[in-house]
Amino acid sequence: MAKNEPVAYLTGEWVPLSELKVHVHDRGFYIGDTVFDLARTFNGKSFKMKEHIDRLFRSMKAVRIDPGLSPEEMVGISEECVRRNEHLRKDAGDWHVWQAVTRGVAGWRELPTKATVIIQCVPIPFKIYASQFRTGAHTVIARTRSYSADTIDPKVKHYSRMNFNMADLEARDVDPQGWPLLLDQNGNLTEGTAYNVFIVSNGVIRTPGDNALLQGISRGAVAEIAERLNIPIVQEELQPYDLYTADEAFITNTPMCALPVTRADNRTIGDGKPGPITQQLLAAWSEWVGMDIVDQAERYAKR
Amino acid sequence: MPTYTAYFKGEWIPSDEMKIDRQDRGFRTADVVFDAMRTYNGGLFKLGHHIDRLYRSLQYARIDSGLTREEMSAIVEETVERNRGRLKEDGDFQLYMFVTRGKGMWANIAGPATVGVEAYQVPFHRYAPFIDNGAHGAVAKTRSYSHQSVDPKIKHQARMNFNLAELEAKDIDPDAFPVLLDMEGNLTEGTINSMFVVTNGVIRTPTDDNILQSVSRSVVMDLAERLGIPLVEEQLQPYDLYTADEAFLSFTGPGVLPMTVVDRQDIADGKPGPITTQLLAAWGEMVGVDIADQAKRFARY
Repeated sequence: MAKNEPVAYLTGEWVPLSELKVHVHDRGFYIGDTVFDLARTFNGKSFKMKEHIDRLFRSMKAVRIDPGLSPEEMVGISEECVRRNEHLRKDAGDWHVWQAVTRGVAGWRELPTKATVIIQCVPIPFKIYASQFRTGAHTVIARTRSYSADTIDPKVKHYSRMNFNMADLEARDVDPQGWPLLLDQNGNLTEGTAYNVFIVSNGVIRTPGDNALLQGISRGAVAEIAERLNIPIVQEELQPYDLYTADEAFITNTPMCALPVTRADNRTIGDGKPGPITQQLLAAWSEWVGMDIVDQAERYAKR
Repeated sequence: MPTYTAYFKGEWIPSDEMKIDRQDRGFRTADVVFDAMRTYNGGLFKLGHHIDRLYRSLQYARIDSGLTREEMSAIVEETVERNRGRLKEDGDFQLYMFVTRGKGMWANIAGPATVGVEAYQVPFHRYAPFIDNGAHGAVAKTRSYSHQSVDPKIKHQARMNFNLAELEAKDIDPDAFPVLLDMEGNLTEGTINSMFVVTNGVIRTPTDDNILQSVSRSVVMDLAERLGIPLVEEQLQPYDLYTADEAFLSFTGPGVLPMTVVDRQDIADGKPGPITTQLLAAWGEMVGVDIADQAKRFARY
């Protein structure tokens, strides 16, 4: 094992990250039978870990996977993973703390008896987005639609995401920088392939209601911060028109917190620069976690 | 007994050692298409059809396997040859081939593809117990994906809805194979099978708008034509299944498997129907194997 290699938890054992693999006969691979969650650290301290683990257990409840661990144990192992890799954090900046639970190894379409549990710390991929805090990100509305709750409820955080894969490809066809956004079966905005979407119109933050999308932890954090800053925020059905004609827009997820969006389907949003409310949210978020989120991303993206 | 040998990322290794990297999109986001076929008397059945369908799935998902159809076919054939020593013990093989998009943060910059091909015993135990008296079915609450999300014609592994459907079916009847409806409530398919009913001597099956382009389904159509049994594709609802004279499933293992109970109610007299039995016999004759007998003899529980 390389000296500078993180360790990860794999169903009861600690293994080098490079040995973290799943069997081809694991339902998590052969039939997408996996739920997951993803927290992050700020300065090496996990953020809202309990909320992430609670959501993971809601996902497992919905799809009926038993991890053989309690939520407290799962939090404990996640925190242990952070501790065990602390000596490597200087190079990583901060970690994704990533939990995945599959239904386990079983013969063709049989039900296994023991879940596969993965908990890993991996470096946050700052390079993917760091420069876009200043330039703004581009979004593209994909042709492929979000799953209907009749098939697999989008509130569940799972790996069975062929539609997200298609949406990634379609977005890049339109704009090489495009972050895909998906519509539901009725044409309403839902979410991206790993992020929630917000727009700002006339000083009001607007975001799709949570009946057809992931219960984003960062999305919840935006609501908390907005309340603290006295910025009105509403949940409502939104269509592409609302995004195109917004004053500002941003996307949120665990690593990025809030990333400004300045382009949607090759239309400039507002004046084409990151908007003031987005910047205000990001500044408040940095203050909350005790570090400059943008500065860290920019510094580590260069490494 | 020697262990099975599989093709994995360009090498031949024991099947049990085929492991997918945590970063492979095939695991991380089920970014993987696959196909499966079987042998009869050790000979591959409809290899060309399965390879063609795999390449249609790849085309739709925009995954480049890095292999030509001919190369992929040759690997499948070599997989059979390398494992031929197990045929006597195991009866026949099922072949499973998959292609993932490989590693990558985004689908458009991922690769190279991870390709695997393995053989294992035809899962006789999954259907042998149901050949004589018929399988059970249960209509699941969870629906088939809309083709606006992922077209059900492609054979991919991102199937959380199938996982839920299997569990829901077992809530109703521990033996049941799930039957999925589309978003409008029409019958589509099972998680491993196509669906057929027989009404007044006519075989009826859902149209191919919202289902896998099943090879077994097309074989049923060929056999029906050869036997002079009328067959129609049309939209069907649970009513048609409940009130059918007979019903059967079609999938790679048995070809045709009677279904005699659905949602805990007998279909007609609750026994495998004559047209189902006729089709199964014709299939066996076509491939030179007594399908029911083989499954019962070789099934390992």
